[in-house]
Amino acid sequence: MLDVRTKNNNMTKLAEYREGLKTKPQLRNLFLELTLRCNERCLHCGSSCGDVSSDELTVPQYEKFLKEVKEDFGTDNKMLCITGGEPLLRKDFFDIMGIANQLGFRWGMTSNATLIDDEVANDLKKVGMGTISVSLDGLPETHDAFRRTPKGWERAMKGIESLIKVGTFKSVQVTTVVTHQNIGQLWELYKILRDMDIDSWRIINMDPIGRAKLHPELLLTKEDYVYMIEFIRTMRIAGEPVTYGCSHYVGLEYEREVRDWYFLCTAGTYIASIMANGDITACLDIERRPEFIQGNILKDRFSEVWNNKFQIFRKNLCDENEKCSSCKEKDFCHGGSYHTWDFDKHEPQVCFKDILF
Amino acid sequence: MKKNKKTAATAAMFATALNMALGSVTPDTVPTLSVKADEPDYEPSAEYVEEVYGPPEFFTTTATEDAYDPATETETTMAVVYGPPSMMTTEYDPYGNENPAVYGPPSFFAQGDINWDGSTDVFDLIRLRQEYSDSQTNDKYYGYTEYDVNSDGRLSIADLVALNRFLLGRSTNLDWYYDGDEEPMPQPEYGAPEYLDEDEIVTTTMMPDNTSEETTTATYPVYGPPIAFD
Repeated sequence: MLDVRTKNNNMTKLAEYREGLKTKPQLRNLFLELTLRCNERCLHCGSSCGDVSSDELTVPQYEKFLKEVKEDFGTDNKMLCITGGEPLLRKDFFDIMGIANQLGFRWGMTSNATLIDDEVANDLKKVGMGTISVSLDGLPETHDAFRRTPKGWERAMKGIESLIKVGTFKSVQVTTVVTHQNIGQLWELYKILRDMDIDSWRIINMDPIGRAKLHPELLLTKEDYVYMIEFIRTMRIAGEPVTYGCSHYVGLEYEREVRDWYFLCTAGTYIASIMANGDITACLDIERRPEFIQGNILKDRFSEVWNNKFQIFRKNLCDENEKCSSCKEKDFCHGGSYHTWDFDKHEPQVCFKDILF
Repeated sequence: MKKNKKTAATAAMFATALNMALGSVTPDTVPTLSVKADEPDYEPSAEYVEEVYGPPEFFTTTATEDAYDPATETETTMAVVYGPPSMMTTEYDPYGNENPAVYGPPSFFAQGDINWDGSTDVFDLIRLRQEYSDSQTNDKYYGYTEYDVNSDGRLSIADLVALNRFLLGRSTNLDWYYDGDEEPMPQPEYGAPEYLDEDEIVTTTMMPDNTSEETTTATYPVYGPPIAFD
C-alpha cells in the first residue's frame, strides 16, 4: 500500500547499517530474566516456565552487575527489560529494581499482571518502572485455558486496571500471542481493548519455540498468517495503536505497515540477556544451547563478553542455507529471527515467503 | 486505546497512500481483509470489513423519505445525529447548521471538522477512519452527520477520499466524490509524489477565516527498530 520503492531504498540502507552493527554493536536493551518460576503454565512459553526450580541471582549479585554495566556502558540509551517467568514472584523484586532505578537505568517489564494490585502498581511506580507489557491471549475462556490458570483473565484485567489507575507509566501495553485457536477472537478482543486506556496492543504469532513445540496444532496456517497481518494493517489504517512484534521479515508489501520500523533482528547487536542463573546470551527466546551461552556474570565482566564474544549472533544466518542465500529478499531478511532458526538443520522454522511475499 | 502522534502519523501515511491509489478506487470499493477464513475457525461476519450501501435496513422515519432523492440538489437536510430524525428544509451552510438538533450533539461543526475542534485537519481524518471502520459492525446511521463529509447521505469510502483530497489541497470542495465519470487523477510512476516523502507528513489546516495553514513534520525513523516495549 505504501510506496514500495521508498521501502526498498530504506531497507537497503538498513541492510548496510546492519553490516556495520556486526562489527560495532551497540548495547541498547539488556534483558534480565529474574526467575524461571511462574504462576501460570502457558502452552506456548518459550522458556518453559512454571513451577520449576530456578537458580537465581541474589540482590547483591545484581547490584554488582548493574554497577559494572553502568561503569562500562553508562545508562543513556540503555533499557533494562525485566522478564521471567513471572518477575513479581521474586520477593526481592523491588529491592533489585530499586537499585536499578537508583543507578539511573530506565526499565520496563513483561508480566501476566495477575500479581498486580493497586499497591503493587504504586510500588512499581516508586521504583521507576517505565513500561509494561501484559499478556492477554484471547477472550477469557481461551486465555485461561491457554495459560492453564483459572480466572487468569480476570486477574490480569484487574492488574491492568491498577496500572492504568496509577497513570504515570510511559506505556502500558497488551500483548496477544495469536494461535490457530484464538485467531478468530481478534475482533472481539479489539472491541474490549479499544475501550481501555492502554497505550498499545502488540500482536505476535506463536513461534515453534520452547513449550510451543509440544503443541503444533496451535501453530498458524498460511491463511492465518495473512489474516493476522491484514488485521494489524487494517487497525493501523484506522489509526489504532496496534503493532506486530519485532520478529520476522514480512515482505516489502507489509514492512513498515504493520509496525513502526523495518525488520531487524538485533539479538547480539542491540540486545543481550542475562538468564536467571547469570548466563549471558543474546535473546532469551533463542534455544538454550551451550554454544549460545557466552559467559556468566558471576565470573565474567559483561562488557568483555559483549565486546569479545557474541560472534555467533553477529552474522547472516541466510549464508548457512542454500535456499536462503539465493533468495532475492535475503539482504532484508538476513535469515529471519534468530530464535526461530533451526540450528541443527540450518534453516528458518518461520519464513513468510510464498505466504506474505 | 490511546492515540498519539505516532498513530496519527501512521494513519496519515496510509491516507496519502489511499489517495495515491485513487485512480483504481471507486466509492463502492472498500478495503477488505484479503482472507476470509472458513468456518468454524473464524466468524466472518465479525472479522472483515463489508461494503456498506446506504442506511441500515432497520432505519425508519416518519418523514417523507420516499420523496427524498439524494442524487438531486436539494436543500433538505437531516439535522439530527441521534434519536428520531426530522426532515427540515434549510439553506445549506458548509460551516454549520443554524437549526440545532433535537437530539444528540449540536450540529455547529464545519464541514470536515469531524472531532469538533474548530479545524479540519489530519486528526479529523483519523477520527473519520475509525468511525468508518466501526460502521461496518454497528447500527448507526451516518447520513448528513459530521461523518458524511461529502453530504451524499451515507458514510462510505468516498467521505474518506473527499476529506483526504481536501487536506492535501487537491480540492477545495468537500462535496467532491468520485462518481465514475470524472477522469482519474494522474498517478506518478511509482505512486509517491516527489514532494511527499514517506518520512514527512504535510498537514493542511483550514482556519476559521477560510485561509489554510500548512505544516510539514518528520515523524518517524527511517530504519532501526525501536527501544523494546516502546
